[in-house]
Amino acid sequence: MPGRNPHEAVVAFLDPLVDALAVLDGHVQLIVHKRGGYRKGVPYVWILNGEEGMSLRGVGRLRATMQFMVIDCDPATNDGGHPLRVTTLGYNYKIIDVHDQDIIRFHWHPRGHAKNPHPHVHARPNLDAHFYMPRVTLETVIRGCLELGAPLTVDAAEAVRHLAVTEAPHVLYRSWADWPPGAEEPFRTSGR
Amino acid sequence: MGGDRAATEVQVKELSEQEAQDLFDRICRRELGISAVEFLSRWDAGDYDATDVDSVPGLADVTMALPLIREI
Repeated sequence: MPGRNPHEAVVAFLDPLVDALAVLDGHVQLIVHKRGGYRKGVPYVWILNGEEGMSLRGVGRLRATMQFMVIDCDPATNDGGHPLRVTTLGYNYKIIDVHDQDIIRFHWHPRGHAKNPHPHVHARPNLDAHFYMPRVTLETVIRGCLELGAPLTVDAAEAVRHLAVTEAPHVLYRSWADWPPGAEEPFRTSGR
Repeated sequence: MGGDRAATEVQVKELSEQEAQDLFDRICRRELGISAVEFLSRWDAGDYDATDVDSVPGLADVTMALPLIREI
């Protein structure tokens, strides 16, 4: 998802996410604040539909927030020869039922106070427990919404195919999938 | 996207400075029951330094949204 300048890199980053969300039927807006213009090395965040998230008729709501930053990349690694790309700094997705109770939370918050370098999930019946697992894409969460019966703009098979396509650029350009660089795999020690 | 897609219009909305502050305030009030001013006061005072962000319902939602208002 590289670009020639920070703005292009962010657009290239957001476009597949916007496209992925289009399989869900309902009001969808990715809300961002670029503070006068995107710059390299500055954290930004996108939020799905603000504080209420996206209503999923008959299921509940999807809340999604992702922090990101424009960074340098090797122009030789992309077809356009572009020098910048966006990296994800953290995410917070959750699916909430019609009674406003969380069903599942997908967390990765490796920065700041009480940081946790490992992607993890909190799920019913024990939302306090940490289920460590590889990085979760927005498309994976959307597929979860689909499984729960969220209304779609296309049939389910087409939605799954479409999500595979929108997920592809992220899978192609991401720098890690399982554990972030420098983070030890949870619960694994050098003695095991 | 091909096929007989219904008309979900997906947009990217860019907030002004004031809109970003207002959104962050609404997130603080919804998730923690306090204003953004109160949250930032506690945050800057270090009240959350020793707090597991997952142990306080809504805190992860607020901290993830911090780049709306601060370059952190």
